[in-house]
Amino acid sequence: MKEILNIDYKKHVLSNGLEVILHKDNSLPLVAVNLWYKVGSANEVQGKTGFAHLFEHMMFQGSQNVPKEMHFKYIQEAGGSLNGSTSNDRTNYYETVPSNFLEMALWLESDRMGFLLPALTEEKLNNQKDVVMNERRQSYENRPYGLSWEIIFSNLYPENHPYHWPTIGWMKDIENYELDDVKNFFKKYYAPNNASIVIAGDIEYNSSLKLVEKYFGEIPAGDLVKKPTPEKQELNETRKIVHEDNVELSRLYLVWNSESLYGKDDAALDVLADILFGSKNSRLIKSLVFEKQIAHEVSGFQYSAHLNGSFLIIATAKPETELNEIKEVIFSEINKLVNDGITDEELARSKNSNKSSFIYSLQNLSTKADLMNNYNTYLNEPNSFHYDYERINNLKSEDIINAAKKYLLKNYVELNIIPKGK
Amino acid sequence: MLERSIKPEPQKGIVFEIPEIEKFELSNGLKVFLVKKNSLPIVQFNYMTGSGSKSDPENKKGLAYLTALLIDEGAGNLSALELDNEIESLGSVLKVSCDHDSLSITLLTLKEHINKSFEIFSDIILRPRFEQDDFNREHKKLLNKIIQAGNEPSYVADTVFEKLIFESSNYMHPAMGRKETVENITNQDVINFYKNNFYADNSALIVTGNITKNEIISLTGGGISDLKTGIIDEPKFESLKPGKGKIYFVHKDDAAQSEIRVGHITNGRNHPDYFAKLLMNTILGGQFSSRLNSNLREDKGFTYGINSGFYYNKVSGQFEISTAVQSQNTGAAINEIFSEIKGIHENIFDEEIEFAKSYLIKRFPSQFETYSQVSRQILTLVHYNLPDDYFNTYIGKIEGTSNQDIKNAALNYINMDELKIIVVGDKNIVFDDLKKFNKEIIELDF
Repeated sequence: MKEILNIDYKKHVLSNGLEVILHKDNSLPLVAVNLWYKVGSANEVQGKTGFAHLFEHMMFQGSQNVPKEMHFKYIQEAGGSLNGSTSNDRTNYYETVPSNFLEMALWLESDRMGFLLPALTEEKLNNQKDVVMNERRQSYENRPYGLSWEIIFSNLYPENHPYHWPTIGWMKDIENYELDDVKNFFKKYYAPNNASIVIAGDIEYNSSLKLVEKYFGEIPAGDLVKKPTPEKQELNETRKIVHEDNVELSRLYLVWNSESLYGKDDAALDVLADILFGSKNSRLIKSLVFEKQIAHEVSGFQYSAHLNGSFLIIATAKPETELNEIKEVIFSEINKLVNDGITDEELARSKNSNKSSFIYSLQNLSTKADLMNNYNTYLNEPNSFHYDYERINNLKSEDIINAAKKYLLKNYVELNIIPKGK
Repeated sequence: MLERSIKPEPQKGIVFEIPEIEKFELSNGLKVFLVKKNSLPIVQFNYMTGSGSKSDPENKKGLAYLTALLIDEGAGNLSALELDNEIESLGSVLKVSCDHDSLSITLLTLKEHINKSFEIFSDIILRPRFEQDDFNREHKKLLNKIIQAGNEPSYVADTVFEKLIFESSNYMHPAMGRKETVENITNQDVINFYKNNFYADNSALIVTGNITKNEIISLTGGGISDLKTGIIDEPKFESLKPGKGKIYFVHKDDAAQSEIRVGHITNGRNHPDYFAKLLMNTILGGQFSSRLNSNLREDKGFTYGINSGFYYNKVSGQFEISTAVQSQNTGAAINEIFSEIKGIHENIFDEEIEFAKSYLIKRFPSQFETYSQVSRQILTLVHYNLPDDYFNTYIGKIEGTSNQDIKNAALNYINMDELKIIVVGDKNIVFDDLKKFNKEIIELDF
């Protein structure tokens, strides 16, 4: 494993603070370019939520030297694919292009990092406000169970906590975005010293670094950004929320505060999630879906973000089942695990799945580049593939049991999504 | 300061070698397609039968889908839970899927576990257990899946669209079936479906990864080559004529958006005009910078996205425009869709055609990046019975499509009068808008 998970790279920091990570993989004539801006919804404030996500739209609207709509068009014309995504803590922008178009990709990325604002107009903002509101309608309001996420996190975190609101933002905030606020947000967070770029694929180290210098070198550094530092989060009471939706099958969510990304218990919670609901033989699926047959489906995960983590269990009931019946089984399984422990077989199964999924994830240049940016940002070492694998591979049974004890026996948020008018 | 106003040109050409496909048959005639890929110690197997939900009996729609749900719930000596435990413990990934024309079983495994993984994979194909208990559980699960899907406005729109497009043919039914048809299915039906549709003659095995022909032959020696041979009755497909276009409406209480589908039936995948249609659609709605998306998203802000495409099943196809728009803009959005269709009938500019050709040709290598992408490419080849040199001639065919062919594709394959319009939304907000189109409106329940 050590050999296959050893991903060679060269790292260099430009004088303006931009971190540059290069990885050579000549298996196909492709190159993945992946930029992380260390800004996410956690950097927003109440009343102006959704700004980081809004930029995932505005950054494709052209910049000083790239006319509106041409950012997408140039990359597509070159046969590339492109996208971006927003989380609590960061936004990423990425494209995979034929390797001879690397320079064009860097030109586009640098133009929107250094020269976006002269091209950011009221008209573009108003258009993308409409698009984002339609994104919200499509993916949240009009989708069954679509509002669960924001209901959970706004209850799990107090109002002043940076994880209190959804990454897409509240609808009323989106409606009221003002151009000046939007521009100020960009000035504050989209500077080279708040970003890192990974270039992975069919490249030469020296010439690629020269190209990065050429296009990004003259973009001035921004003022150092103060990182959000909320206090460690603890729920002081268990909360239950019942929400009616256009659904016929009720769904139960149980959510606990847990460990943050790469924190001491993060890996143990990943394995705990796998043992509880990761496969047909996992405790809850076996019990609720196979034996008692009272749940239609069970899922969940350890959702670890930079400042805090949360542990979610999600169970959809069969039409004839009450959510409380499912909840009781879940807690009795948790107690059983805490009291009686886990089997060696369960631990080995989870470790083996982890091992293969690491190898499978190396198939795709874009995934690899994004992981390198993740490792660089949070572990300060882009080649942390083996370290990350070992985090799970070195776990002992006690680690899993202790994590369950430490996090799942505390206060939690319970959300019931139930059919309208029932 | 660097001069930034000029877009940098590519430095040099690139070299891309299309992966070689090795084709051979097992002793029972099962066709094997092998693409070697040695970058990682991974092998992917895809077993595909040419039978899917189009072979479902009349009052038992959903049978193929339920067979797919059940086929890996226990096989050979392993019960459902034992089988899953083995697969998970090997770190392998097993997936079964079913559509109108095929049922596919996919196995992704590390090379080091290939023997054990493949043994289970063969058992699933050759010796599924189909026990009554497993049937009872999965049968209920399918009924609940149908309830859940019915709450998704996008599923409702897709299903109604297909039903109207393929009316009276085997393709009009959703693969999952409907509550009243699934209720009729028994475990014996599933066993019969398996017996009647898993033959070497109508199946193929696609292998991608770090493996040789000889290794495959020795792996399959004790297993898949036992698959029996036999002839499948292909279900009848009536060739359909699209009728006059109408508006079909399904009401959803308090819908935050309207799901819209617009389209009609077209000819199949193997028609020589395939590339002309592909290029024309790339310009109309096949990618982000298309006319439809530029207009309805980037200009009007009506939607998060809109796309169009020619989608193919084995013997026929459909042209379909698909979007979800804010309820208040439903009528305006349909108007814009019409005006874009008029526009593509009237003119297509040379620079749009150059863009579409460049887009399709230059992205070709990226379609062969992952193991599953390679498998999917080969599956397409097998599924539609495309010529062996399909990938080698792909770029030439796109380059060789004339501007006139592309313009004709718009005129010949998108017919304004035959467009069926499906809207799933809130009647109170959108109905008056729909009346303005001077078309017959038919209200449907889902």
